[in-house]
Amino acid sequence: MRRMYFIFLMLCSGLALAQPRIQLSPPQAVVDSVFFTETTTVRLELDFPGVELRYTLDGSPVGSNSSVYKGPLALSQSATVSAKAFHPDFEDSPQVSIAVRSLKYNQPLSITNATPRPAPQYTGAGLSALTDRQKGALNFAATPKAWLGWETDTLRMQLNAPEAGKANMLVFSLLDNAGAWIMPPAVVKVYDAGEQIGQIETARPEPGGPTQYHFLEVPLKPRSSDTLEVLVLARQLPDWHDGAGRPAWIFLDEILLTQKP
Amino acid sequence: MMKRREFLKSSLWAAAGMGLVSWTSRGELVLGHGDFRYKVDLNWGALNAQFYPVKDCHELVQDKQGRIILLTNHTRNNVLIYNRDGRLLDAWGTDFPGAHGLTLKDEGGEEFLYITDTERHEVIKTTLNGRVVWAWAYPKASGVYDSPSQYIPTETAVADNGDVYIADGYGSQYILHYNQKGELLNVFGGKGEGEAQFLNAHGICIDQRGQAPELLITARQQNQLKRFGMDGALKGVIDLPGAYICRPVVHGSNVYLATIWSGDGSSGTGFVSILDEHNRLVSAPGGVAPVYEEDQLRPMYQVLRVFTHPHDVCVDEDENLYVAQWNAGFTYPIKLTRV
Repeated sequence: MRRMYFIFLMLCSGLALAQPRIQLSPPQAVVDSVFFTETTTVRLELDFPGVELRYTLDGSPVGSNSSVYKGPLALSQSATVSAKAFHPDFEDSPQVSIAVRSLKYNQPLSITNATPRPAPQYTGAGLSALTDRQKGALNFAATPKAWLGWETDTLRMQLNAPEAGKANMLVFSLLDNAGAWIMPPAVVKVYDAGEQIGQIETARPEPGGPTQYHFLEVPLKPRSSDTLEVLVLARQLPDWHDGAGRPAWIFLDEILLTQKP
Repeated sequence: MMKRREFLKSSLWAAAGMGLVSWTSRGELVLGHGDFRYKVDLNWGALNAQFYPVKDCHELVQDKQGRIILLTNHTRNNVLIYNRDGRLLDAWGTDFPGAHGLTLKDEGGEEFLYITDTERHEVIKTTLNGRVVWAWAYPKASGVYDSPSQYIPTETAVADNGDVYIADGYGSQYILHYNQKGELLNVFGGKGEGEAQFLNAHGICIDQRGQAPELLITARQQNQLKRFGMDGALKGVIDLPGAYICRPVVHGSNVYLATIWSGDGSSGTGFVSILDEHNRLVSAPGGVAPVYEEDQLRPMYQVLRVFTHPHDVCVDEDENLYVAQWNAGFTYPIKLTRV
């Protein structure tokens, strides 16, 4: 009897090894509004029997000990919701992340000029699309009016911010899609009347990163005028990339001026 | 046939204790919903890529001998011919760098292939062993094209009277209706968001399920399947939100559609869609279970990463499916055996 049981176990394990390794798809993450004033709601879904969804809110990687998703997440502060699907019979899904951004401390802003102009096929609804609080889709082709795209080494922009002095951070809402040659810029510098008041550098991307939204925050020193100049230096596509050495595309759908509390 | 299927289904249900079946007792993955469930054979059409390479596996048809004919844009062997077990029987074709659409038509006992080539901007008719019958250039006579580059045909459908319908799915989005002599009879569709227009008129077929034949044409970017009369008059629009459908294939009372992307259209999110006689989605192997709420399909998305980018599906006489994929790491077709 014991031998029979042993043979049965061996058969089971042999069968388990024979199974192809199939991975779950990433959960669907749906948000009411990426930009919000009071609250926003993020819903996660992968409707497949036996699936468990887990998530984090601080941008940290999702693991088997992360919080279990039980229903819609109501958020009142900026957050990065990351989620993964788990199932005993399948490989864990890739992680999906969606960032939401509170506009509670936002200051008025307009973009008065950008040099060069966006590429003809990615002009969005014009420069005003960058301050309309409309978020573009991760699949940029699905919301062509929201995204502006540049293929350039250097992008210069003039910004007008009438509430001078109240804001201490400029936030760039960018797309990260290495497969489409789109990456966050390497460096962003901000000037006020010729004086540099902010700078941020991004890390060199690793291969295999997901398509995701990227919010680049540039802290600002106190300033005097209501005009800002922004200098954006594109990322050179890394040596692991098909387009190595050429500038990555810059895809922007929003710029926010905010007072970080 | 049905009895065997019923038996298999009942034994599978018993094995899973009424839960949803993902794996058979032999460790085979089972996909799909309702009556349309399939065992997955990921290695069905795998060949030695040094001798029989593929780039994109674009489309598949079955001839009356039961052979499965695959079209790839690799010019070492644009056409690979398999038996149903996945054994290679024949290979030919070196002149189709943009091999994309593949349609088979029995014309008085002899079967012919209609190949659309997106790089040659042509439609080519061949015999089953690769002899070219004719090649049609861009439809200058239509008056809506200035140059061949505006014409990137993705699919053909051939009527019983010999008329040929060509979908210009990567070009100007017109549907071009020819007689068998190559004379242009009609032009309809065109690029746009109107009901009778297309964003990516990718696939076309003739639907003989109703009283009169109709054309089924995919509007892939719009996640819609559009029904037209043979004269080009719009008859209806079927919404399949979240499903980027490539080509409709009618078999029995069902329509099968390789679905290259899903959800927001992100890469690697494909599955297979199966519609019933009312054109409602009833099974989505690799996708979420289809749910209708007040006659509206809930947006579809992929749940398992079995498929990457399904581009066409061929249905054999036992209702098994063969799935060809675009941009899927140079992989060969996957077989789904109905259970």
